[in-house]
Amino acid sequence: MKARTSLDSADQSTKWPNKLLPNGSELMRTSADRSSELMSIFEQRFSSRLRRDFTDEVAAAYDRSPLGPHDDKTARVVRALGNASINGKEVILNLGPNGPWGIGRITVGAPGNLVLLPSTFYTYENALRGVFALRRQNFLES
Amino acid sequence: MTAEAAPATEIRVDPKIFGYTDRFAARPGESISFHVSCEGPSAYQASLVRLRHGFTGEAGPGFLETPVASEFDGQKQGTQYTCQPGSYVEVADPSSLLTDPNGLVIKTKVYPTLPLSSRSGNYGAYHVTQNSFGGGSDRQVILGNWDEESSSGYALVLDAGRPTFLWSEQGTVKSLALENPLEGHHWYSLRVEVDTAAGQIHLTQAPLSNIMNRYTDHALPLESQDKVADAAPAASAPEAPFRIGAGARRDGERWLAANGFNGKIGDVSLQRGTPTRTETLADWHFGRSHRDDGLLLWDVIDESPNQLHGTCHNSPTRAVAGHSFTGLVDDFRLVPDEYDAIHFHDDDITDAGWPTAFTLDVPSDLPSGVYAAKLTAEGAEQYLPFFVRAGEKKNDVAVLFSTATYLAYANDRIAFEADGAEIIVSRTPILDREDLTLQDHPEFGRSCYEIHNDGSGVVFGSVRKPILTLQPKHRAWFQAEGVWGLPADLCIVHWLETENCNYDAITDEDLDREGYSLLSDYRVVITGSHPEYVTRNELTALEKFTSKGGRLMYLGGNGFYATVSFDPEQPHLMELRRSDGGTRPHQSPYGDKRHATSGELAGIWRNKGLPPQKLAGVGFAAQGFDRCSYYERLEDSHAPEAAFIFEGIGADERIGEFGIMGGGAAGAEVDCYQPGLGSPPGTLVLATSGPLSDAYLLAAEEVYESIPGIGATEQPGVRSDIVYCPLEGGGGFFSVGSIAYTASLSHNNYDNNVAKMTGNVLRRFRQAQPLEVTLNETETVQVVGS
Repeated sequence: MKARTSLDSADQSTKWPNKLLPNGSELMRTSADRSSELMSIFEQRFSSRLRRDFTDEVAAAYDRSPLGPHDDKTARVVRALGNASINGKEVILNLGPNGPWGIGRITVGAPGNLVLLPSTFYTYENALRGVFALRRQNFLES
Repeated sequence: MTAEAAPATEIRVDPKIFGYTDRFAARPGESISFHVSCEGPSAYQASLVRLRHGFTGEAGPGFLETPVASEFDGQKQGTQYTCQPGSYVEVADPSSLLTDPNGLVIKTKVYPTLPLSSRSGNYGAYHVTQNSFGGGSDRQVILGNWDEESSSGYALVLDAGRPTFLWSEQGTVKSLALENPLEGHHWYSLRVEVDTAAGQIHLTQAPLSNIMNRYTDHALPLESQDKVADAAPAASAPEAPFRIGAGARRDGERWLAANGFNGKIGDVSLQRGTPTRTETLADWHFGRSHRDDGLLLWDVIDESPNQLHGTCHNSPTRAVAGHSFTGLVDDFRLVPDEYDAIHFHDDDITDAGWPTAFTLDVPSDLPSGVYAAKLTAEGAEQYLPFFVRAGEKKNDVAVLFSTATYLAYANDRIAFEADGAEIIVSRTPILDREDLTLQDHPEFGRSCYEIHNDGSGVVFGSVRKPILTLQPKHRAWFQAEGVWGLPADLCIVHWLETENCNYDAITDEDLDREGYSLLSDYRVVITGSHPEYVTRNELTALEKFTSKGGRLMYLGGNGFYATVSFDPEQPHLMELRRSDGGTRPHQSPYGDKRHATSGELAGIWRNKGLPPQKLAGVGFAAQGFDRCSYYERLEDSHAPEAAFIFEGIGADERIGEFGIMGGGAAGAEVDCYQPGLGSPPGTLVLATSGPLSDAYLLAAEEVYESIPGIGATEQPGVRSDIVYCPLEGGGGFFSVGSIAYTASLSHNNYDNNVAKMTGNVLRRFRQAQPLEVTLNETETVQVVGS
């Protein structure tokens, strides 16, 4: 999974002097390349830790109590999923003043920048479980 | 739980009515105007209603309004108007001195902040990575009178970041562009010379050294560039106005902003050269003010003999460090030459500029309170809330509505753009339909918690644009569908109704403008649930109020926290810059931290000698948005002088173990008693919150160095305290230190211990008899560190 898109807010356009590779071709390294390299190392470590942590027991702990409190391992997994890149992320949409609730995916360009997924939930906690289940499924498939 | 089976569906887009008022509050005899745009409906019904309660859920009394006959009731024609963001300076040029490009010499300094019109990165406290506003234009107008539709006039622009001069020649658009785009966050000098005699145009760019450049000169050596083109510009007379910071496009009778610039522009001058002499046409100084106090409001001074003064539109950010900023003095009033710059944004919007749809001359017999123009059409409904102030006859209780905070949060859409939105609220955000409508209307602008398209923080809030978060039924995405802002304060309004307590409505801008004289006639002032942002004048007035016998009921959390300013000439505008300390969503660059509309340094009052604890006994401690808790009584709650507060409440009774927000009265954003920060020595600490989760984290201003374990289960300072303090002079305060508190008032049809305790305080505070001071402060002071 992708946690963040870059390390800092520097413009990605800064060009540094070209260098030559041993074969003579030009290597145009930019600050964006360097930030991306650093981020990919972090993501590798982050993802590796997440795969270790994201056990069936963690999933069951979340299902038991979506709002916590969670043990450290579950809390770490929940934060990791919740801190993912906003594009395509699941959010909950209230469908009435006392529920039910639906799940939407943030999709820039769609009406409301949101695409509504089909499920309907009659408690907020169940909607949270639904979001978590979708994220877990995506995580396992990634 | 049901499984995902059917395909995803798009959100249905319903007809819409939008609108705004020209001000938040009006007295009897004053007029308030309403501005309306319809998307779909050709007509709508308008009526006046008194707002009594906002939250629509079953946990409270439901949405309550009362129709009030008014002069504007009835059907109105529905028209759609454009709300066009983009800030600029417009220059009145009655003698058309700037119209003809022939012989012009244009000089300016620019500091582009988004030269390539697309942003990437990770911004601010919430890690904003996405711009749901969509892509911007590749063209950014620096200055000129270019008409985008007729392609007439001239303009100096950035086209895909490249300095470019545009002009019209025999009906054809001509342009001269330099080869390379400008670097973002670097100062450059730009010069255009239209040498008509030689039939040439010269365009030059030269990088400038400056402390605020992103890179040092030797780290990123930038080169000057220039280019020449043959030209014979038409001496046409375009209709478009001369602007700095944006171009113009016609929309009926209006000239809207077009292709706005993102970044700073300064040191702008125009000259006209003839074979015999060079005449200065205009020489604008963005650091100079007409005003004796030196504030930089919206007039722009031309120092040339022609006095082609300009006017700012849509509130670009003034009082920002310019190309000659040395970094030694950060007050624009002391070094105006170093502040010869304005920061423009293509998404600045502080006045939609819609025509008046109808007005209300506030009748003398209309009781003070919260009202709204209710607009309805088939499938559409919209409320335009406002406050009616007291006429000559006043009540003894005033409610200070937190309009500055309403403006700070206005149109918040962080949940769509920030990776960290979910982390900060410790659960998946719950969106409301209004949140989706906001996504379809980026032109209504962003809250002061967000960043502009160029990554800089939003620092202005304004009444004069549609504010969907001000809808009385609105739910906040970050508080489990709870109430926030006006809908939260309507919980107080309805509770007062159940207490048979008439009140007068006052707003932050009223108190800022009128000071203590506005409060002097009241016995009790009740705050809103979240009076986070206040001005210095407000703090001074409230302190004087309690010192002169007034009683303050601070029924909120995170109150009196950070600095805002209201524009002294346009009080519908509020300024909120962010300093580099305390809890903050973003922060202004060094040199840009002082409010242009007041001269105040941005930041939290605690860091400016006025911590909220001095005024209200408690101050910001933590925030968390998973669940709320109850309060448990402490030893001081059994003191004789506090007995009136707990009449009818059991000695061991948990207080507020219920509520609309998170199921408890203590939560969301909470404050605690801190004698080390000025909680008065005579303060009684009546109750403290029950266990809060580790979603509640110690406020950033308490974390001097990053440390693990700053959650509520490990930090004693993460809590909410209820305090009461009688003061010498007969006044005092009762403070609850929790945003969630007022959302517990209505539980069980107001038959609960939160309503009981608050009612006990209100009834006692309304009595003339001075509050009893039993502690000798000079003998009992034992301040401990916080």
